[in-house]
Amino acid sequence: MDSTQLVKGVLDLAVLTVVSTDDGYGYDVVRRLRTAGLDDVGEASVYGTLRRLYSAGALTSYVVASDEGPHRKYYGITRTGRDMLAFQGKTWTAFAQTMAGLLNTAGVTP
Amino acid sequence: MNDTRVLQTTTPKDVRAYVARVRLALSDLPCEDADELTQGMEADLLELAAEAGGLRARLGTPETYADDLRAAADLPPRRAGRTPSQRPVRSGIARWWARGESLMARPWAADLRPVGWVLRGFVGYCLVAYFIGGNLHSLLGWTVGAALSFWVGRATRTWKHRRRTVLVAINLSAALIGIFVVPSVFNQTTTGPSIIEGPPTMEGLARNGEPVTGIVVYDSTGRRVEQPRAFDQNGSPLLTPPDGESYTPPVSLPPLTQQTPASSATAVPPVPLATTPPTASAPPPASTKRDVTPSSGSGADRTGAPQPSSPAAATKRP
Repeated sequence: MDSTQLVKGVLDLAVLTVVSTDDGYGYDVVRRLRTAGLDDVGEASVYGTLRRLYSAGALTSYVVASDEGPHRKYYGITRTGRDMLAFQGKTWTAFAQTMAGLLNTAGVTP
Repeated sequence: MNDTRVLQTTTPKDVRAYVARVRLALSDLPCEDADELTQGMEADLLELAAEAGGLRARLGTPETYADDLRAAADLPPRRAGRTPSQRPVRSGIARWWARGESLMARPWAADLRPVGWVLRGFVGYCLVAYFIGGNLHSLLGWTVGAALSFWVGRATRTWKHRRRTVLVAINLSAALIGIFVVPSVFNQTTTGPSIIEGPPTMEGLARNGEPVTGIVVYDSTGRRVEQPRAFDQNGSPLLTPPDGESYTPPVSLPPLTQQTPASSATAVPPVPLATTPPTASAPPPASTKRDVTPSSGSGADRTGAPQPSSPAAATKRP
């Protein structure tokens, strides 16, 4: 199974999780996701997701001026975003457990 | 632009060009959406390029990257149309447009936007007053213009591509005409009748705003000093001969501070311009103007010698 497709499904949750611990700019979020093991995550997908979550009110954004180069745009999580994270987190965990149980019946274990 | 080129070493300029093309590919979106997607992109891509090398190798062409962004952000796909390479002129304009947009998306530019609106209001009022007729210097007019423009600016902030193009075109035309009209506003301000003018600057000696055209000098005994010479604190002649020659003081000229008891024609005491001549022995001349110019009319009254410092010469013998 192509893990890219799987990542797409959980990208919102993954981005919310990363940003919930620390505010971050786009490329910083990409890097943190990859460090966590989501190697297949694409830049454009993360930026698009940030934008979408921002539109949904889950994220807030602010620009940090830089003396040397162009400005950076940081994203931080909002109250709505934390609620979303909690809800989606539960959904995902339940889903993952269900899948693990199902696979277990067939003798597939991680 | 060469799409097949793969950037191995990516310079900030390359990154800017890449971002500009991404913006161009997003240009059919509402300005807010495109801004939101591309703000901060330059800094991020610079970092990515520093780590990963070529942008295109990593992200694909700007157009592909823009399409991926749209898809991930749940924005509609690009409107069908001809590709930029099929319309070189149009795509050239569009590229410059995208560069402008990318510049305007910078935070400082966004901060300056309201200032631009206020300025536009001022220029707009000046244009209306100039062409329709009205008081160019109306503070009320400026204020109303600025407020109206501010309102328009806020209201049209979310305008989409086509309407926005019209708006930008109007702004640019107003700015171009304004370049010619607005300076005339300031010109009229400085020379307008409402400004109280000071006395015009005049050359030569003046007293209370009136030109001094002749000076009669008497010594302490009441004798008229013939061909007196007067100099200022810098040693420059106080009166310039009418023919424009500047008078060179003789070498033997005593310093101005030195008080000579009985003055002569060559030794010049400090001349108190404000003192009234001793009227008992020497009444002041009734008219001095006639004698200022060393013309034929006044020649008879004079000694006949050449008079290099003629403006300071006396008019009549006492």
